[in-house]
Amino acid sequence: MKLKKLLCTLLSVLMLFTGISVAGCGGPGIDIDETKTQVYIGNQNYGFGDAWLISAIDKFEKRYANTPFEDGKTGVQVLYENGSDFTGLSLLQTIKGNDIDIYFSDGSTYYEYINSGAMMDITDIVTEPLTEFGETKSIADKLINCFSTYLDTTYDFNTKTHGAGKYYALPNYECVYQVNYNVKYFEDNNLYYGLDGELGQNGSDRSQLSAGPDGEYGNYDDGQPATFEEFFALCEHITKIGGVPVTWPGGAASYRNVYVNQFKNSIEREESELLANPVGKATRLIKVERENSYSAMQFDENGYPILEELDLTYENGYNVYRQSGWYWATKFFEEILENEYHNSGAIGGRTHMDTQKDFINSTLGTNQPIAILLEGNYWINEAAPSFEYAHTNLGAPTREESKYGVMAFPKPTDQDEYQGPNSYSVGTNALSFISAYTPENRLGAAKKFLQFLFTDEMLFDYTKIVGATRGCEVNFTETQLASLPYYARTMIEYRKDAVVVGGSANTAFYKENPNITKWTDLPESYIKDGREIDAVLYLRNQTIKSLQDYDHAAIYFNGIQDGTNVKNWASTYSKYWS
Amino acid sequence: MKEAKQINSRKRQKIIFYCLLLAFPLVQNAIFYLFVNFNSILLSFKTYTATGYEFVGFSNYQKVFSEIVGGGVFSYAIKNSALLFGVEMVIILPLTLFFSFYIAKKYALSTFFRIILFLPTIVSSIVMVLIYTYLLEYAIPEIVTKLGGGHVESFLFGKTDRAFTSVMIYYVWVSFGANVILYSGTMSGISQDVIEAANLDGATGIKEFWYISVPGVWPTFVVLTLAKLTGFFTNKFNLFSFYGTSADAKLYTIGYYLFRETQSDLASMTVFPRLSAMGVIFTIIIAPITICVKRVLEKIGPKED
Repeated sequence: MKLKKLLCTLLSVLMLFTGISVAGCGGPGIDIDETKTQVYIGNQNYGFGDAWLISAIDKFEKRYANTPFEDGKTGVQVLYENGSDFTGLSLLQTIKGNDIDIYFSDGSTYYEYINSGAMMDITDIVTEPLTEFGETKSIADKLINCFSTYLDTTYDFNTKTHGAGKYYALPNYECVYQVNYNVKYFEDNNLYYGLDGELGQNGSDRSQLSAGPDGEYGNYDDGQPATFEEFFALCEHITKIGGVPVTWPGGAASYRNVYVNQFKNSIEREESELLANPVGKATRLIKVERENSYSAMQFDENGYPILEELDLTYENGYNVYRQSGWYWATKFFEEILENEYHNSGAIGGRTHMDTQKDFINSTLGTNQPIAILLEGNYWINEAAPSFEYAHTNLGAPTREESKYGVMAFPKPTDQDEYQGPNSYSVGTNALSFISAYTPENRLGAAKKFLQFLFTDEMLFDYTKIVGATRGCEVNFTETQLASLPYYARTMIEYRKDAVVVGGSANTAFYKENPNITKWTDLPESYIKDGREIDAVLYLRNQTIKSLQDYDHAAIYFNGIQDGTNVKNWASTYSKYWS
Repeated sequence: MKEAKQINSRKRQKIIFYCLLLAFPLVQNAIFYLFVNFNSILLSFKTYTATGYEFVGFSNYQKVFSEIVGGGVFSYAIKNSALLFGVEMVIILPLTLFFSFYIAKKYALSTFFRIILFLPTIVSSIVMVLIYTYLLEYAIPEIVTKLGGGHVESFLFGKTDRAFTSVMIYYVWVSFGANVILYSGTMSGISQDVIEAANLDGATGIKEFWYISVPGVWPTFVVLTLAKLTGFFTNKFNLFSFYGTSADAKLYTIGYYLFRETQSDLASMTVFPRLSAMGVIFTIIIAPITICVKRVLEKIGPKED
């Protein structure tokens, strides 16, 4: 009987604990100041965190402490709530019932939000010059092209011209998935390529470094591996000196898909935008023929895929899936897995934050150093607790002082078709906007706050805190640049010389098919009959090892062609044919 | 005359009471079932355009049919859903009946088993999944390594076959709870006189189970079987708890596929018409099967007498 009572009590406590855990996810619990105008914010709490927001709120409240935003009140009180549902369809379905004025969201399909009447027209604050803040430009003038052409609903995609300008949202963040590396490890072990094309430089004398992937001397990517061949030679060398070349979070398939998508974009540069709107010239399509009723990509005598050009239209748009980036991005992973250039975390259940911690701690103590981390640019901010722990307990430098940098994605081969600048591929669905349901008395303050975030001062603050940029051109002074943490500085330098591309288009095609550029999913590969194997799509190390004779990237690529034929394309997209 | 008026008034009050009693469930049903499903059916004939929804006839149905027969991700989903249903019927259901019988008969440690089997039902599924994940991904590899067994491959995030088996074991475990309570409760309700009479006739153990308990719980068995059948297209296999929206495509069930399509971060309104058509097709498939299975089970089932 006593045992039963004890068990009942234990179970009750367990259930209560679970309940409390859920109930504990409330807001910041700040008292409402009735003498001020309130602005309520919902912040999608992904890797970029909320430190930037806390800092901005503090500055904004102080700046407008004596400004009346509504009758009978002076000053403003900004209250924010972090959440994981301020995103995509979840938010669209609940926005009407939320008492929130400004959202810093992710996965917002812009035109669906506008069509649903969920976003407030903010053209006034976007197009007026920011003279109040001592600037001459407007926010619209500052936006980088991929955001500017997407967010301005009057932009004509065919003539490439802006209309009168009408905006409902601004960028939230620029999320870029890329190759991040431990600069100090590279310097200590002479892992940069020199002018002679050999590894062995420590990077201290930049004039001795190779041109890097973009082929230009004297800029950020000098000394970095220029081609896949150089990259894998680097990996082999790192393995020989006792390091682990690469890691990435193995706990979620979507991460690997995102990298393949992003590396494909890196290879295709501007042409990666053809996926969002397949109208224009594609110059790196792989030649495909039908063999035994299956698609078969064609190779030349050097073992490279045969490339060809094609003017894409809505009618033949399925050919966008012949872009060689799909093949090379999967080939990149296949090579890493086959040669075991990764650690066990990359194919195990390590979460993204575990992996960040592994990466940071790897060069401390007696751990096996990890040279490269495949992650989004948010990682440096998201890993703040890991940096703090390593600094306090393991004697590592602080996050700001740590030397981590961005490595340009190498070109697949040294063929002319792939040469050119590096690519910086930005997702355009992370948006800041004012809810259309914001009450009139809070609207003025809400608009002012959003505008305030896009002043030069706040854009700089954002980059300094988060380590990333915010969809605007960067105009930092030399002094400002010098004061940025190391990683943020490398991001800015890398971005400066890269081609910035987005994954969206202000066209009916994209507005009605926004999922076509979904980063978390790869094109489905129809692998049939005798070719029914665990394709590189799933990146299963053991399987790939047991089937090393197969070219998994080619099998995956051919499988995509089998699925994206003219019949399937027509069934969905024929209405756009002229 | 006065008496007649009183009767009328009482009758009227009864009718009002009856109407009020029925009003709430009827309105609720109209809003949350009829309206929602009617809207879904309408949506299945539309497509999302830059200006809103437009009528497109049966084009969504055509797309869904090509998706179902076209292989790819959906073929995994169909195969896994069928396998899951098979496991429910062939493994989970018989085991549940045996455990329920064991608990109802109050054999040794029956209270302990009841708590252990029911625990996953009352503890948050996320907590259970976390415990299970840590057990597989950290505890077991650590123990094996400590015992000199070498590196243990990931159970949940490695090869898909291994991941599928791992999730299936979890699924079997957590599926017992509510069913065990229902079955053991019904079994406990079987008249002691009947059981004693059967025992006197020599029916003990397995015979008692087969000839007394099973017929006694048959109506419950029918209801639960039909519930499993209707859940064929909606069973998410706990994949969301384990992997969020990023489960490997080879682990998909149809239920998870449908859920993921609407919940993934980058889901959009364009998917609703296709999913609505899918829902209508699945209903057309499963509704007659459910009715037939119900009739067959009721016809062939054992009778208590």
